[in-house]
Amino acid sequence: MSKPALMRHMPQIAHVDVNCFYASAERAFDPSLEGRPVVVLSNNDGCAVTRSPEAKALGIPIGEPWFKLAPRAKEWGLVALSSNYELYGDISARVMELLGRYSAWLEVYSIDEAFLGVKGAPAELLALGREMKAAVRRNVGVPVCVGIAATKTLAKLANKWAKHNPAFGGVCHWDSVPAADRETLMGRLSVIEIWGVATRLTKRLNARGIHSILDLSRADPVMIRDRFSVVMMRTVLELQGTPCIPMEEERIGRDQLIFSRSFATAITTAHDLRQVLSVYGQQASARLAKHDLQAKVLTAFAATSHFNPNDTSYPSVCVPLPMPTADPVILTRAAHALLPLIHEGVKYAKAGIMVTDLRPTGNQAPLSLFENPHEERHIGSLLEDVARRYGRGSIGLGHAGIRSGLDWTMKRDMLSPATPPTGTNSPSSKPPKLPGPRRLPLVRGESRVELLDAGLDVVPDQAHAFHAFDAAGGGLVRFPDLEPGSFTGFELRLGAEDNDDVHSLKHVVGDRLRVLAGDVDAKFLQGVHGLRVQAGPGPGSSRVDGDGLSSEVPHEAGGQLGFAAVLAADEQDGRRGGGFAHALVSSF
Amino acid sequence: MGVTVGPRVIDAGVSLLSVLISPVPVAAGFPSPAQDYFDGRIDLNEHLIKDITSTYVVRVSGDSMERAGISDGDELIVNRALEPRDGCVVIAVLDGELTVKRLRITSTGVVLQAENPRYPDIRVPSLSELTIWGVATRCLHHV
Repeated sequence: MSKPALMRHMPQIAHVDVNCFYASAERAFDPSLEGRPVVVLSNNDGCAVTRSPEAKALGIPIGEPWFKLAPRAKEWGLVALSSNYELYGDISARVMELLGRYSAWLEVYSIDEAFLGVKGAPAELLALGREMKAAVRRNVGVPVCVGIAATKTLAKLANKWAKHNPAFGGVCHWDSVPAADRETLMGRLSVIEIWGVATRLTKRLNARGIHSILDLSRADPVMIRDRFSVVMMRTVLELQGTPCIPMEEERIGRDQLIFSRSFATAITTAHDLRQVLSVYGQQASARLAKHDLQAKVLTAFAATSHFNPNDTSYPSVCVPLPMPTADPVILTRAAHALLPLIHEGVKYAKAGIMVTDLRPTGNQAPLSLFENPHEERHIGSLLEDVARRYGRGSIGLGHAGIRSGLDWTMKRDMLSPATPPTGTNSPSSKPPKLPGPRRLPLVRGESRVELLDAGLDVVPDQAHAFHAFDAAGGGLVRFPDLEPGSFTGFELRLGAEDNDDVHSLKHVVGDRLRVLAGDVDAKFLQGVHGLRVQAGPGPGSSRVDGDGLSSEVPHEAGGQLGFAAVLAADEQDGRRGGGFAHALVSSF
Repeated sequence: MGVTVGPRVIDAGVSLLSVLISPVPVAAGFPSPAQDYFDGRIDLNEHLIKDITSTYVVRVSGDSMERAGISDGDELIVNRALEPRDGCVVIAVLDGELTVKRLRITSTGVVLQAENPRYPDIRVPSLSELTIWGVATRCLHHV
């Protein structure tokens, strides 16, 4: 594909998905399954969630319970497999990494499908589609089909066509197909077949004389908007070839959540990537919690740009989690497993994490042995509550709590939409003085970043870290890592701009912070004698015990703390940016 | 010789695969001048895996590759992205099973060769009639 050709053509969208993903993933490692009817069963071997074409041909419906299939399995030669989400997550990550080499503009839409931005002449696009298909088959071992068109909706339709009509060889470029053939296809397919049209809408469309996809593509977009919705209007425009559905970087799929972004400026160090992964880990946690889900597997990946073929690196890790969890600490730690694979100096254009094997929260009570200390203390919901009130970035584990000042900023806002803008839709419970996302008056720049990231490894520098925080009006909570004896820790950062904020912040976190501190206090009382903390200037000095945000600030320079928790809030008046709440909970 | 292929995915990086390499050469003779430049650790992931996207680890069962130093229970690092060439140790699909053999491509045809006289060669008319699952690049031999 030559450069001038690239410039001449409008961007198009390639939709790539793995055929019968779970079944194909299993077949990649067991060729004896080739040609045999295979179903993959859901969690606890409940229902058939994936069927190979042979199984579909037997008339096995999706979601058919295994107990209904089992009596006839032998007669059919049916192979039933339990879900192996670790495997699927790994295969998915491989497929996505590989596809990422063909476009810097990749939207992982679900565990087995992705949209890619592509450019070129029709023949080049077809060749690209075939190359991607062959590469995924060869390098990863699973079959994919590719649909390429001007819009996402048409790309999905083209892909569907490529799957069902062997003449395409698995790759369909919409614009390369004669218009008459396209119309025949669209005329034959019911509107229900199109991406984005729900079953319940079909009847209403039918009532307006819109039966086929062709009918819908010829409908008046304005009428559709008025009678149906903007969403439906977009579908019409997309069918007409006008792209209306933007590329997204995060989306709930069937069985996984993906957080992935391309960076405006390439990341070249594990240090910076650590921050990115921390943010993803906490986004994943928040999203899982929102949907009452827990994940069992986390995959983290990074990739260099496809346009930089001289310096390629596509590291990824698949981490089975110790238990189904939505805990931000565990997820963030798991994501950090990618870091040892990062080559310093290589320019990473994007990174992401994916959580898979999702299951509803509280479905099965875990054995107390596996209970997670962070979940016990509700760290996740604490983070969420603060974030809801003060905006994303007002609180986070380690670097994820920093809203700005990092140089790896994303092409789009890194942090998912936080509080709504001033006035509109604000929940009444929100403090009136806090209109939406705000900047926190924290130190900006690399020096603080270093300190923040230092963790317990640099205990001697702790004093400086704290000093910087206090001076800036930030706060720090550190709580113990999962493994006893581990020296790595996570900081939980709180920040507030003025005194009212401190009060409301206290209100939000106070009680629970106390629980957190008290809890740790009891367990790790003897553990922290090596830790020195110096706090910034404050109205008074005292050691603060674990009983809450008590308007006292420890300020003995280099003072040795003989107890496990420090909680302090500076409520001094008038000092701009001086209001802060901070706490330290530490243990070895 | 059969191969058990993981649904065991590579979880490289989860466990620490860095090891200390002895700075002193194992062979007898003069000490290596290189020992002065010992720089500590080698990352086995980096050392063994060139393209993680297309690399899988498989476990070998059977003794048909004994003479190639591949024993029962060893693990092979397999890169699917490599083109199978004459002389490569490959994972091939035979009768729906994965098998490890040495690939011989000659003017008279393609042969899957065992590295053990007790196993016969398997002749294939052409490469196109053979599914090569991947090319083995390293054997992790249990000593």
